[in-house]
Parts: sequence; structure tokens; C-alpha cells
Amino acid sequence: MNAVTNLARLRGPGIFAVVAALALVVAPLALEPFRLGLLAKYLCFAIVALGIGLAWGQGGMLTLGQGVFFGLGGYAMGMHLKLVEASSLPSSGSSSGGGPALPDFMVWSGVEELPALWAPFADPVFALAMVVAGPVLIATVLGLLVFRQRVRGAYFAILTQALAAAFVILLVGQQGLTGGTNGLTNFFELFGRDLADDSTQRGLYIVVALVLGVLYLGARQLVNSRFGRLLVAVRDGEDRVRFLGYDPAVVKTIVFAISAGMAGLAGALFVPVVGIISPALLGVVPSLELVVAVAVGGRFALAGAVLGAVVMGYAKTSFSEQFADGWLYLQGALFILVMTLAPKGLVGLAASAREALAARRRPAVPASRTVKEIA
Amino acid sequence: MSPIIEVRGLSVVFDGFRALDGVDLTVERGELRFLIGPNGAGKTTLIDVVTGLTRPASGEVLLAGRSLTGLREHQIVRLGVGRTFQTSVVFEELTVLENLDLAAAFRRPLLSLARRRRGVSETVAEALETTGLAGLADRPAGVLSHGQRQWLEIGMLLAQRPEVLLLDEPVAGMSRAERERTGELLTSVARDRTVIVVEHDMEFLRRYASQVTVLHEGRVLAEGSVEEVRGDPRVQEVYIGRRKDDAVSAGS
Amino acid sequence: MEAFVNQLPIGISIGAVLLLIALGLTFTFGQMGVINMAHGEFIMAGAYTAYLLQDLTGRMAVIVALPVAFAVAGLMGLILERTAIRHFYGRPLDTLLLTWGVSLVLQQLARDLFGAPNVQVQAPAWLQGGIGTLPYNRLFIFVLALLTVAGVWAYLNRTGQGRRMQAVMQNRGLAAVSGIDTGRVDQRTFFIGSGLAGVAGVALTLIGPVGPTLGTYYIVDAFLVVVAGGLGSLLGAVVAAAGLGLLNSYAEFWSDASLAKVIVFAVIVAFLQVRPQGLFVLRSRALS
Repeated sequence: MNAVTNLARLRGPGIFAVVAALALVVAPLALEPFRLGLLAKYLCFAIVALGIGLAWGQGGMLTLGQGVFFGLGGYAMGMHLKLVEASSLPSSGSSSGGGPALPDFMVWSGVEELPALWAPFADPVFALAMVVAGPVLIATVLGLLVFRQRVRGAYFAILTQALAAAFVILLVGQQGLTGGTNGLTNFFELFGRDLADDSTQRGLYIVVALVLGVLYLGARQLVNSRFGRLLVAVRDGEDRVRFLGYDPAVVKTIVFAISAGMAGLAGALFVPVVGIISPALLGVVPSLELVVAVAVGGRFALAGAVLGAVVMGYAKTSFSEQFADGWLYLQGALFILVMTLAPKGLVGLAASAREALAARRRPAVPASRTVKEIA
Repeated sequence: MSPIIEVRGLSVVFDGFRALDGVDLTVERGELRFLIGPNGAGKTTLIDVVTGLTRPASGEVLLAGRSLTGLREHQIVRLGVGRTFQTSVVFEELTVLENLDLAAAFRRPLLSLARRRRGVSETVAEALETTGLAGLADRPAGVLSHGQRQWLEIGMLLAQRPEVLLLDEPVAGMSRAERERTGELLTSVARDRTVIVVEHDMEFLRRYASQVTVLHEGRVLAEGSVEEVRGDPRVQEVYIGRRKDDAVSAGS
Repeated sequence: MEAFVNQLPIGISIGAVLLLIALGLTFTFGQMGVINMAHGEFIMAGAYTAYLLQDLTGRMAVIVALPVAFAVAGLMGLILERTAIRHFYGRPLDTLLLTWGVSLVLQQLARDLFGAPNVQVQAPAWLQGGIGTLPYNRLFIFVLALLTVAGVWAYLNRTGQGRRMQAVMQNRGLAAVSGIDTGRVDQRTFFIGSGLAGVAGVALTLIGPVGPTLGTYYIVDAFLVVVAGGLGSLLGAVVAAAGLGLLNSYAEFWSDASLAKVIVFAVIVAFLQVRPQGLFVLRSRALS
């Protein structure tokens, strides 16, 4: 009996170790560069999904605006890459000379001087700091304003969605500052390495996988800590938590800010991996798609969020390759099915299948389970 | 030395309805005070105002001479005022132990909460012991019976170590045996703390109350020992005029 | 000053459209706690109804379409309620995601049925032109919204059905034990709310082209109207829609279109600091 419980305790870390080995060793060796790039993209989404899992699954905050934070991180990174590139190609850069070089799209849209907002992003340290600091700052301010007034549930979801809508319109409208609908693209190098090179892409993939792994472990630690228990308590009874002497607004803001920071980091990694950041990648629909992915994977488990993002990313790519239009039907239908039949997602299904299996075996041959798990 | 709780000229209005109308109330340190009155008398509203859930239209509440006006619920808890609710609310997905542990941990710095709980703190162990829930420590609170939930709530309140405890109908819906245990619990708790109890149950009142305040239609109708209050003709009128089963004098 | 006057009809007609859309939302949200993301696609369905009727009725399509679109969108809402939403009562966030899935499917369906490019509905000749700076089509939308509000008000306060609807909205459990068939009331609410979206869709054909994603442009703002107005409050919806419509049009005018939405968002968040539960709410002492 003791062996069983010990093994059960080891199962989580065991799965984690196997998945980590697959992701870090097997995938880079076995997958061709194109597929590895796609996987890197899904893992970027998985980082956003992890944040959604924390905020929504654990904290009950349905955030429909993670695209905003993803975008803030992505644009911070994109701006830096554009500036580095412009200064390394002086001929095609600044037309007026004198001032710092201009990125290509600014030249095209007739901007003559580098906007003040852009200038500090030439510094890699500043750009990297802004990748996380920007989203965290905005989430903190919004969170404090909204949660302190006890705006929650559907109201919060609607507000974050409105934020995503407004952000996209802003990005599209400020053509000269953001590249408009096209966004920022045509990146050639990252910290002195050629982005088109397979080895760079493989290195990037490993960085993305490592970041995801570390964030996952950190999020797990948080969930299992007292703070994680407090978060669940806030989710299930915010008003009661106040009478335990905690301010739910602070708890929620912290978690919302963490999830925003994760999304920002994911956006920054996404830019060199995929080579573009544009409004179409971070509006209302992409934000919701990630929430859907989390629901499909299983919102109450962090692993479910990660799994859902990878599965849905893969499904989207392979289905839209074959029948482009069918994907929307499939996504819609899949989603309706999951919400109706399996609100706990794939992880929930797996758990109930395991329980059902165990329940069938236990009375008949009590020892078989032990034997099997040891073997 | 100022009394632990002092309520002055408190009025509360809900959409034109005066739930409280100029209530004054003084509770001394270490008292076990009962609040009684017919339905709609304003008992729960009074507790709600003291704990910051409801904002008064006028008047104020002082805790050891310090005004609680404008403070948020959690700030009042941090000053040492704890409460329970009529329908007990515990966190069903957390275990009994985790519920108690959260209640005890609010004084820790926020950052230290990011660590896992290791072992059981003395306060929590004590609360488990006092409420008799030690055997259920690792079960999710969702599986508890009604009475056990009420005790868990009281246990959480104890784990908070407040100076003042406000209990809203702690024995409602409890069996006779459960009521008795709760009564003993209250008496032992009240030894070194101030306890204010809202209660309908007259038998319970007779057995455990020392000081009683009677509220009626948002005002204080009478105040004194159980005997004094029972003998007060105004109190008798209010109760007999309403419902027989609530009547103070029914059992005498 | 002239600019101020010029923007006014635009702001008011945006507000009128938002109101038509938000009326349905505020009742389904207020009464059933359902956040219906497919509401935008009911708008689209109403607009396409007008487009289809054009072949039959020519330029009178807009007028004929008003009742037809109401019925079409209402029926779609009713089907959605019966087949899916009723299994989700009490789980508002789940209905949000569920209905979003429905909305995706409906959008793609529209693309397959009508093609991805936008189509145009010809307005009746007598709606062209205007009085001074006030175009007739915007005036028409404004009057339509006024009539609809009057109709909804009368329905809520002057009919038994409407009173039962209010009863369910205020206290579902109590309404149920008082002998009100809450399921029926829910169906009716959903029918009417969705139908109003169809009417809004017809109105939209007067001021712009019709496409599969028509609803998505308005749905976010319409939800903001619900948030700012207060749940299930008719007066709140009217005031919030007018306010948001005017705010949108003036913010767009004084800054530019891309900043306007950010300004609107900031104003809403600021407004929630003062009125976190919206303009008009019943004060209740229940611990939610």
C-alpha cells in the first residue's frame, strides 16, 4: 500500500520529467526545422495559457484580454529588433541622416524622425525589461482599479475584452508608430545571430521550452503554496475571504499581473520564433482562442492549460492546412462539445477515465494495480 | 479605559427602509452579549455595520475608542474583529486544515505565503482540538455536515485570534447535542475575549446569556440581564404580539 | 460649435444602435446571468434578412425586414436557449465561452451562404437626404430606438408576461415558488432579446455595409453599455447607450478613431470607480 502512495506521489514529477526530456532532447533531434518552429510557436501560446490557467482556473478571473499583454511583450521585442536592424543597415535606414536610423516601415509611411517612444528600445536591457514590466504595470493598475471596486466575473471578462478591442484599434490606427495592420515584421537577426539559420531557430526553441518549463514549475509552486490556497478561496468565496483578514483585490491583482507578465514574455519569444507581431495576432479573437484552448485542455490543472494550447495550436495548423474554412466550424463545434460534455477538459476526462479504470480493477484483483505501476 | 465596542447613534437605510434607527450600544471587554429581537429588528444589520459590510447612513462604531468608519472589511478584521455568518461559508474545495490555516495566516507577510505550508501551527492545532474536528483535518470542507461546518466557521474565527467575536445565529439548525457543545464552546471562548451573539433560540439564550440587548424595528428596546429583559413588559408585548414560539416568556 | 452640432446626430444614432443591441443583452444577462456572445451574430442575421428581402420588396426591404428580422433572430435565440444555454444556468462564464463557439460557427455559416465580401442594402428613397446636418437615416434609427424602448417599457410594466419577467429577474427562486413557469419566461426573454438584435441589424444596414463579422464590431460596446447601465435596468441601458454613443463619437472627433476606443475604455473604468455596479441597481443586503 505504501509503495502505491509513494508511486502516486511520484507520478506528477515522473510525467514532467518524461515530457521535459521529449521536449528538450527528442523534439529538436527528431523534428525538421519547420515543424520544430511550429512547436516553438505552440509553446509560446502555452506560456500564455499557463497564465490564463492561473488567473482563470485557479483564481476565477476570466481574462479575455491576454492578447494585449502578449502584444505589449511582442511589440517591445519587435521594436528592439527593428531598431538594431535599422542601425546595422545605414543605407536603407534614416533618410534625413543625423538622427538615429529609422525602421523600414516608418520610412515607407513618411515618418522622418524616430518617435520618442521608440528610442529607449534600442537598449536590449530596456527592451527586455519592458517585455515583462509593461504588461505587469498595466495589469496591476487595471487590476487594482477594477478589483478594489469588486468588479468581477462577467463584468471583468467584458472589460478585458473591451481592452483587447481598443488595443487592436489603437495599434492599427497608429500606422507610423506601430506598423499598422502589418505590424512589425522582416526581422533578420537576434542578438547578432541570423534568424533564418536553423541552429538559431533550434536554440530559440530550446529557450522557449526552458522558459515554459521554469514558469510551469514556478506556477505549480505558487498553486501549492498558502497563497495558492488563498487564491482558490478567493475564487470560491471572495466576500468570505475579506472576513479572514485578506484583501481579495490584492490577491487577484498579483495573480492577474503574473499572468500578464507571462503573456508578455510569450509575446517576446513569439517574435523571433515566428518573425512577426501584428494586431491580428492579439485581438479579441486570438485572446478568446487561448481561453478556449485552456478550457479544452482543462482549466483547473496547470498542465491542462499547457496541453490545451499545444493541442489546439496543432489542430489549427493541421486543419487549416487541409480545409481552411472548416477550421472555424470545427473549433466552434469542438468548443461547444467540450463546454457541454467535459467542462474539466482533457485532463478532467483523463482523470475520470483513470478513476473508472481503477474502480473496475480494484475490487476484482486488488494487487494488479500495484504490480502494474511498479512494472 | 474605553469600552471595547461602542456604537453611537447608528442608522442604516436600505432604499428608504430604516433598518437601524439611532442605535446606541456599549459592550465592555470580556463580555458575552446576546442580541435578540424579532425578525427585521436589525440584529444582523448591526453586525454588518460593525464588520464593515454595510455602510451606515449616520452614526459610528468605535473599537477600543478608535472609529471604524470608512474601513474595509479586511482592515476591521486586522484590528481584531471577527465574525461568522448565518449560513456558514467555508471553502469547500480546501481541507478543514487548510481552511483553519488560512484563517490563522492573515497576519503573516504576504510574501511568506508563497511558501508551502509545513506542518500545523499551534493556533491551528488548538482550533482543531477545540472544535473537535481533528479527525477530519484532511477532508475537504465540502463533505462536512451542517453542524460541523458551523464549528469549522467558529474554529476559523478562533484561529484568527480576534479580540471581539461576532456570531450570527451560531446554533440555527443544530441538533440539541450540537447546540450544547456550541454553548460550552462559547462560554470557554468568552473567558478571555469579547463575544457578541445574535440568537433566536430562547432556550439557548436562557442557558448561556449574561447580558442581553433587545432590538425592535431598528431601535434598542431594552437592555439588561436575562431576568430583567424577560420581565420587561415592552419586550413581552413585542414578542407575544408577533410569534408565540419566539416569546421570551413562553417557557417560564 | 459647428463640429459639436455635426457630431451630435452621429453620436445619438450610434447610441440608438447600441441601445437596440444592449436591450436584449441586459435582459438575458440580468435575468438569466447569460452572457450571449452570439448576440452579435443575431444582429448579422437581422441585417442579412433585410438583404435577402431586397429581392422581393426592392427598396422597401428595410421596413418589411423589421418584423421579419425580429422573428428570425428571435427564433435563432430561442433555439440557442433551448438546445444549449438552458443547461448552463448559473455558470455565466461558461455560457460566455459556449456562445462564443456558436458565434464562430454562425459567422462561418454566413460566409458560406452569402460570401465573405460585404453586401449592401438599398435604403428607401425617402430616407435619403436630411434636415440640415441631420440625415434622415440616422433620424430613422433614433425614432426606431425610441419606439422600441417605449414598447419594451410597456411590455415590462403593462402586461402580465412583462411583470412575470421582472419578477424572475429580481428573484428567480421566489418567482418559481409563486407559480411562475420560469423556463417559459426565460424562453420568452431570450426570444425578445435576440429579436431586438435582429431589429438592430436591420437598422445597421442603413448606415453601412453588411458582412459576416458585422456583429463583432458592436458587441463589445454593447456589453459595455450593459456594464455601465446596471443589470436588467431599462433606464440604465438607455442612459448608458446614449452616453457611450456620444462619448464614442466625440472621442473619435477630438482625438482620432484609433484613440477613441482607448478613451472610452478609460472613461468606463473611471466610471466604475464611482458606480461599480452600473448606473441603476437595487441596493440589496444579500452577500452575493
